[in-house]
Formats: sequence, C-alpha cells, structure tokens
Amino acid sequence: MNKLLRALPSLLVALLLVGILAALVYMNRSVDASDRVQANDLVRELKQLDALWGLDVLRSKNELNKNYDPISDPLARLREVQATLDVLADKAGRASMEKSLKALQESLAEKSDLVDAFKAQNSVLKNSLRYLPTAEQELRSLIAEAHASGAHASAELDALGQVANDLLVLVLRYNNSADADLKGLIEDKLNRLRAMQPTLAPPFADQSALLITHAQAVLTQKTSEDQVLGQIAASPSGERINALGRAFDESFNARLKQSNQWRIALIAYAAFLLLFLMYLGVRLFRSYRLLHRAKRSLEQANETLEARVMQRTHDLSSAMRRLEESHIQLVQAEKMASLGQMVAGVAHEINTPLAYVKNSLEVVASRIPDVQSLVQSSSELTQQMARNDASQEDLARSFGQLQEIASAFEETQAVDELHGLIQDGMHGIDHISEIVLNLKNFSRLDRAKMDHFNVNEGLESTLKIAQGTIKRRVVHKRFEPVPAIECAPSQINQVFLNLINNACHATAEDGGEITIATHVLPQAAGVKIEIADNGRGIPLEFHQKVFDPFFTTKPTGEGTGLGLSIVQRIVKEHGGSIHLASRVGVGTLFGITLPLRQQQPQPTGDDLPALPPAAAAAAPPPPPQEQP
Amino acid sequence: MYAHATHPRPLRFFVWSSVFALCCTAAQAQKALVGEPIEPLPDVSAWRLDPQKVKLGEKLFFDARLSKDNSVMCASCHMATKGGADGAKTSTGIRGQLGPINAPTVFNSALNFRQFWDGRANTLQEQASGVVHNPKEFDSNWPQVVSKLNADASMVQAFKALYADGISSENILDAIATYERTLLTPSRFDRYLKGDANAITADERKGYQLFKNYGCVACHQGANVGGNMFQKFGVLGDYFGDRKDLTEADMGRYNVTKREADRHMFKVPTLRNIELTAPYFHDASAATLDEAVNTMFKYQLGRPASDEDKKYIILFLKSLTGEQFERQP
Repeated sequence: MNKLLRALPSLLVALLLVGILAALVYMNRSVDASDRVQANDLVRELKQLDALWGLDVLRSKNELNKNYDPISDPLARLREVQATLDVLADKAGRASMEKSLKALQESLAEKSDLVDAFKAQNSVLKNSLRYLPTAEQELRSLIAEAHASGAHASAELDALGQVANDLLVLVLRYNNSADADLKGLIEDKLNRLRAMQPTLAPPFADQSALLITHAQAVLTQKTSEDQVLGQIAASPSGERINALGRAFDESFNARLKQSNQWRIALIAYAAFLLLFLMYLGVRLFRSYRLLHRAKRSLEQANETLEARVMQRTHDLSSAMRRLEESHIQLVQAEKMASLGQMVAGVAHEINTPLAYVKNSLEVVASRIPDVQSLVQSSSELTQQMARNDASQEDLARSFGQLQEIASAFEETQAVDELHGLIQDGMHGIDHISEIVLNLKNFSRLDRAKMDHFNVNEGLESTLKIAQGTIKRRVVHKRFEPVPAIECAPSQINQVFLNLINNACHATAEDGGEITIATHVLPQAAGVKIEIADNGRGIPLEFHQKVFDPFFTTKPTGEGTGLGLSIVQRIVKEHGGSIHLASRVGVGTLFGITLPLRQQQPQPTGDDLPALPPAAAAAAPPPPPQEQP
Repeated sequence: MYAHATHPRPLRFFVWSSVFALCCTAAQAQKALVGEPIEPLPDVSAWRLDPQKVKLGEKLFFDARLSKDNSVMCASCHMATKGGADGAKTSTGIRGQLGPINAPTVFNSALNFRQFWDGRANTLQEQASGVVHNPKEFDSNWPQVVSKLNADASMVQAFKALYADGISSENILDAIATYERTLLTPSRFDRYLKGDANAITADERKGYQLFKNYGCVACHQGANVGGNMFQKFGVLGDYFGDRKDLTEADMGRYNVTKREADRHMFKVPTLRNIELTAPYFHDASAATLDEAVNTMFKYQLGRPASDEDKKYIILFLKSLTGEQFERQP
C-alpha cells in the first residue's frame, strides 16, 4: 500500500505523458488523406451527375429520351453522394463546410423540384402537341361533313375551320420559338374561338373546346416549361458544387495546416519524450553502475572475507591444534605430576616397611656368625664322637665349647630374636604387598573399564594411595552404605584423588581436617560424594573459574590447573554433576552426584585415561583426543 | 466500386462473362425493341443483393412486432395475392383504423423515384420507417421495435450474422428494403420488349400502340411504367371539382411542399400488375380498370377515345401483369 502510494506520483506523470502523446497522435490522425481524395472524387462525380442530369432534361425535352427514367434515376445517386459528402464535411470541419453544403443541397433540391415540374409539364405538352393536329383534323372533318350535308351556317363553320387552322399553325410555331408576339396572336385566336363557341352546334362546340383546351395547355405548359428549363439551366448547382469542392479544399488545407502544426507539436513532444527517456536511461545507467560497483566491492569484500575467514579458521584451527597438543601435553604433564605425587606417596609408604625389613635382616645377618660357630661346634663334637679315637679332652673341650655357645644362645634368646626379626621382615613385606594391592585396586588396570563400583571402597583405596599427601591431616569418614554404581572406576578414583589432593593442599599438615561423606540419593537414583576441608577456601570470584582449564591458585610449577577441569569433565561424562561451596577462611566442599546407571554410551576411557599406576608409567601415552 | 475489381480471378470472370453477354446482346439486337418509352425490368441479380439479408427482410416483412400491438405487418397491406397491395379502398392499420389513402403496390416499388403517393419518402427505408411511426398504421417507434426483436434470440442471431451492430432501426430497414428490391415482377410485355415478338398477343400489341398514341405513355413510361414523376390529377379537367368532398390526402404533394404548384400533384403510379391492384387511384375512386381508364382519358388526356380503343388498352395493361401471377389461375 505504502509502495503504491509512493509510486502514485510517478504513475500519474507517466499517465499524463502518455495521455498527451495519445492526444497528439489523435490530433494527427484526424486528418485523413483518403477523406480528401474521396471528397474530391465525390464532388467530381456530383458535378458530372448534375451536368448529365441537366443534359438529360434537354434530351427529354427534345424527345431524345423516350422516358423520364434518365432524369429520375440520378436522384438516388445524388442523394447518396450528398449524404456521403455530409459525413465527409464533418471530418473536414463542419463549421466551414456548413454554408456551401447547405447551399448546394438547397440548389439540388430546387433543381429536383424543377425537374419534377418539367416532367409534369413536358408530358402534358407532348400530348397536347400531338393531339392538336388530330383535334384540328377532326374539326375540319366535321366541317367538311357539314358542308357535304349542306349545312346552314357554312360561313361560320368556314371561319371556325380557319381559326382552328390558324391556331394550330400558331401553336406549332410557338412550340418552336415561344415569343410574346406569337403568344398574343394565339390568345387572340383562342378568344375568337371561345367567342364562337356559344353559337356552335354541339359537335363543333365540343371539338373546338378540345382544341381550345389543348392549345391553352400547350401555351401554358410551354411557357412554364421554358421558364422551368431556364431555371434549370440557370440553376446554381454546378457553381455550388464547385464552391463545395473549394470549401472542401480549403477546409482540408486548413486541417492539413493544423495537422502540420500538430505534427510539429507531436515531433517536438516526441523529441522531448525521447530526451526525457534518455535522461531516465542515463540515470538508470548511472544508478545501475553505482549498484554494479557496490555489488562488485561487496563481492570483493565477500571474497576477501572468505579468504580472511579461511585464514582465521586456519589460524584458529592451527591454534586449536596447538592448544590441543599443549592440552594433551598438559594433561600428560598433569598425569605425570599426579604420578609423581603418587609415586612419592607410594615410595614413602613402601620405604617404612622396607626399612624395618632391612633392619631385621641386618640383625639376622649379624647373628649368622653365632649360628655358624654353633653349627661348627656341634659338628666338631659329633665328628669326634663318631671317630672314637678322639680324646676325652677333646671331647670335653668340644662339648664345653658347644655348651658355651648353646647357653649363650639360650642366654641371649637369640633364636627367639631371630624369629621375631623374621616375623618383622615378613610383616614389612606384607605391608608392601598391601600397598601394591591398593595401587592395583586404585588403577583397576586389571578390570574392565566400565564396571560396578562401590564408591566407598574407591574412597578407601584412594585414601590409602593419598596417604603420602595426607600425612598427619585428620580424615573423617562418614560413609553410608551405598549401592554399586555403573562407572569407569579408575576415572572416578582419579576424581577422588584429585579432590583429596586439593583438600590436602588447601589445609595445613597439622590441624588439617578432611571430611569425606557418601549418601544415597533419593529413590536410589545415584550416590552423592562430598569431600570437604577446613582449609583457606576459594574466593567467590573464582567459584566459576576453578573448573576452567589452566586455572590455578598454586605457585607456578606446582599445579597444572587442569585437575578440577578434568574432574568436572569426568563427572559430566558420567552424567553426574559437581558443585562447589566455599567460604574464604572456613573451608571448601565439593559435592559430586553420580547416577546409578549410565544411559548414554559410556566414555570410552580413551578420552581421559586413568592415572596409570607406577607399573604402567613406562607404557606409551594414550592416542590424542579426537574431539576438542 | 466493384468489389471484385481487386481480385484477379473474379475480374477475369467478369470480363469474359461481359464479353459473352455482349455477344448475346449483339445477336439479339435486331429483335430487341429500341427507343420504346417503356423499358424492361432490370435484372435483380445485377444488384448483387445479399440473399441472407433478403431472407431476413422477408421475415421482417411478415413480422407483426413492427407494429405497436403486434397486430399489423407490412404484408397486411402488401399482399402478394393482391398484386402487392390490399384490395381495399384504404388500408386498415392498427386497432382497425382506416388509412386516408389507397395502398400502392410493393411490387417494383424499388424502381419508384420516390415513395408514397405524395413522394414524401425518398427511399424504401424512409417509406417503411414512415409506416412504423404512422399512428394509423403501425403506431410504433424504433426503440420499441428494436427491444421487441432483441427479446427474440433467433432474430438477434440472424442480425448479428449480417450486421456488425446487430438489431437497429437502420439494419431493420436495410433488410426490409433489400427484400423489397427483389420484388420485381417481369411480365410477358418485358419479354416482348426484349425481342420476343410473340410474348404478347396482337391485340395487346395494338393496345400498346394505342397506349402510346393516346399519350398515356407520356406519364406511364420508363421501366416501371410510371413511378418516376409527379403529375397533377386533373391536369386537363377539374377532377376534384367534379368529385367533391376533398380530403387532406387529395392535396397530394402540396402536403409535402406546401407549394401551390404542387396542389393535387401525385406520383404517377406504376401500371405493372394494374390488373391485380383494384381499386384504383389514391382515393380508390375507380373500382375497375374500365373506370380508371375512363377517368384517365377524361382528366389526364383531356380527349375522347372509343370504347374499342380503351378495350385494347386494357388488354395491353393486363400484359403488364407479372408472369408469376399469371401462372396462378
């Protein structure tokens, strides 16, 4: 709608321009050369018709035409031509044509009336002229008959015959040349005949009456016929046809002139329109070029953008790769650090029993010469006794020596001491084997990666492993009996170890307290493990950051900053959650919930390999992660 | 002017047929009568009338819807069985009204130089239009007629097929006039004029000679044996003075022109089919041909004639009856 409103003015202007053009074309169109040609032709035909018509009237008068069809038939065509000219006059310009057209119509109508009058008169004239000699002949026959029968008033009849004959001659002469003198003479004769009538006998009276009638008719008709013919000859129709032709010419010329003006106007207007269109075209071209340029720069920008994006992507991906590499290296370093810590712990653990095993064995070794002399003494005595040749002395000395040594043995309770030492050594060895077992439990290398796992046991194992770190810190264990959960035990143990290590690091060796609690979640959906310490706590602003990789508060070189991020990832991969509650100066609590069952495909274990035990330390590092 | 002139083939045909026609005319030339005041009827086919228009015009000629109450049609007063007139003294128009004048024949009316007794219509179209509007005849008007015909699907279709603008007063009149142009009635006398000397009897020939000699032919001439001029009724005798009781119709052409010279001027009627169109004259004053001929001799020729001559003349007049009517009895 809005668009339409905005386009309306230009639409109106366009309509106006086209309207003016149409009007100009119409003004040009209104002059048709064929109209002029047709008008000319019709005027010429009219002229011919009119001339022939006049000629045919004369031919009819002279009885060259045997009937009046030739002077009646042109009427239809004359009417048609006039009607057509009337239509053409409208086209040529009614105003300038009206007068000459009217004049012509009037004169032709007048002529038509004259021709009608001529026909009426001519027919009667012809008949009377033909009949007059007959009538006169008949009168003369009657007179001759009367004479023959010896009529009484022969003089009067002779006079009648004479007058009739004179009349006939005069009328015939009058018909040839109608002049006033003859007319007077004829009227004179007619008057004489009329005067004779009352005294004539009926047949003569009747016959002479016929003569009078027809002579009178000739006189009247001839006079008016000449008059009519004169009028026809003088009819201005021919002239008026010429005038009409001229009027047509003038009108058409005026029209032509006007049309030429219109044509000039049309040409000028067309030129204006053309210029306007050219202007529009140039504007269009310009805006097109502008558009084209903008488009091209946009395309260029697009291309460079693509290149830049590709470059950036490339940079990013290489950075990512480097990051991944360094991440892997860091993870590896973390692993090695953890390993180091653990190894240190484990070494310490093993060192103590190893020390007293060594002590015991050294003590046992120091008693060996006594045992050796005892064995030697007893052996010498037995040999002497067996030889029988030995002196009693020797025997007694040997016996005494043996007795001395044995009593020494008995006095020092050496055998018991040895036994105790060996017991001690055995105990140390047992301790060491227990540590190794725990290590094995911790790493669970000997078991499937996904297993049912009791977190309490896991915590116990971990605590053992972490003993080197814990040292004198007090550990409170508040374990509830929990169901075994489905998980990767080595990874969960790593989580525990990291958190316990963190707790240790956050607390002082003396007075440090670590509280580890396990709960069953409502509806046995899973388990909750809480590891709390009474350490220095984490400032609020770090609460979100502590899980970020490489975030650490420890001095450089002590921590990788990956511990908690690894913990979070392991927990999340198990479908669990981890949260943190901490207050500076009070302590920190990490809570972990783990679901009872795994729903998704389990972490492969390749992502984050379990902390390798000391034995596996030499094994090649796991393949790099495929996913970021 | 000739439509075929632009087409080579019809033109060639036209040329050859013209040559053929000329040869035939030349062969007949010694027979055909030359210089006779009466001429044979023209050949309708030369007028190249559209047969469909003729058919439509005929339909309209017999269509009472042209009158106000659908009671009268052209054919009511122009019956083929009555020589193209109605046989009555004056015609009966709408609502039984009697007209003022005796109906002229429609036959050969196309050859009349004007229509009606007083020549007030220049064309057949004007004549028909006059009848439609005359309150004593059809008492209708064109909008009425056009709307009535427009209600007739077959009429609408017929007009559409022939006229671009369908039913209109002009087109109705054109169709009727076209039909009327075909109503020519060639007679034995025409054949006689064309050279068939035996087409009319010796008596009829004698009648024709008398017709010429007495001067009847002065007015009753041309192809239509009349119909091409006006003449005063009573030019050589006081017809109306003798008849008395003048009506408006008796004024003749004066009613049209109001000129004194036109008083009692009437169009000279055709004498073709005169045998069939009694009663005679505009006032139907002559019930028989005998009476009519007597009146003519008395008032128009102003001379006596023997009964025998009149008898021959009447015999000649009867030879002017269209052959299509002669065959009927």
